[in-house]
Amino acid sequence: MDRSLAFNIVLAILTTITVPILSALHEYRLDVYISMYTLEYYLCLALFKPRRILRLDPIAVILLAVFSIIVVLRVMEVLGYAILY
Amino acid sequence: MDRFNLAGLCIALSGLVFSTLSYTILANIPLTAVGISAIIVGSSMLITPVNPVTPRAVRGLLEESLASIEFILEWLSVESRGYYMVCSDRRIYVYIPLSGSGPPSVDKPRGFIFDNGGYTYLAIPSPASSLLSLESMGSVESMIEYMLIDLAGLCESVSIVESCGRYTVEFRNPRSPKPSGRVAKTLGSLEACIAASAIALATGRPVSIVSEDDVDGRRIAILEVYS
Repeated sequence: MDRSLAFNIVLAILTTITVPILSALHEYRLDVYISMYTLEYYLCLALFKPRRILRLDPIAVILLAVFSIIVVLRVMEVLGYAILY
Repeated sequence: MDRFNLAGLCIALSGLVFSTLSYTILANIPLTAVGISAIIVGSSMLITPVNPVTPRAVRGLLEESLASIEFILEWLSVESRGYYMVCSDRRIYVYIPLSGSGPPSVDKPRGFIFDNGGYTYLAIPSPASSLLSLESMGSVESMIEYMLIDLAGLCESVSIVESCGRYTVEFRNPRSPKPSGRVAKTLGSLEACIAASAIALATGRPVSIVSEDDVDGRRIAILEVYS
């Protein structure tokens, strides 16, 4: 099977099973879901090395940027500047 | 746009609408997360290139192309090592010396057989020339991997090591038969031919296949880049 196709199939399966698992654990923080998606995306990226039309993978860049923002906000929360709930 | 990419666009847009409505109207985080996952998977499908031709068909075309070249080499009784070079129009030619040795100093071949610096050369377009023109982005490694694994399905994996102007390329489980006779001496195997063409395109310098051996399901080719 083509590795790019395998990447999309595995990514779709992983992101689909993430929602019922986290939901069953009574997780209602959106940033946790997004962090899990970022982790799964990078895991699949490392495993399958899919081909891309563009030289730079824009989804990976966006997910990393969002993940960094989430981490910064969580650190601020620990320091007493709560923004996310 | 291919149907696969179009499906990705539709999934991403549906996910965008679904997550926005779930967050604003329903205020439901798991449903919003479902929408975001659809955006990610749809966008991934949107930026995935699709190969309309199967690897088996590409491999067949390349093997037939090499077989045709073999007839020409037999007819001309050529046995010298060929030099893979890029022309001014970015096509890759294999220059095979009919007399003398060393790569010619030309931008473009002046015919099928031509003279250069007192020596005669045979100019043959590389079997991978037109395919490599489609893949003009990325590094040498990614170009060779794409050509050999994704496009032509000629081997399972490739590893490349560069040292002092010499590239050692290892092809795991090569699927093309090992060439015999004049093709082995002049052009090398199909895998080595593609690797040499890609390196010639990336470096812009003449490349020749120094040696090629099959060891335990692996084919190891040593390619030399000339200055």
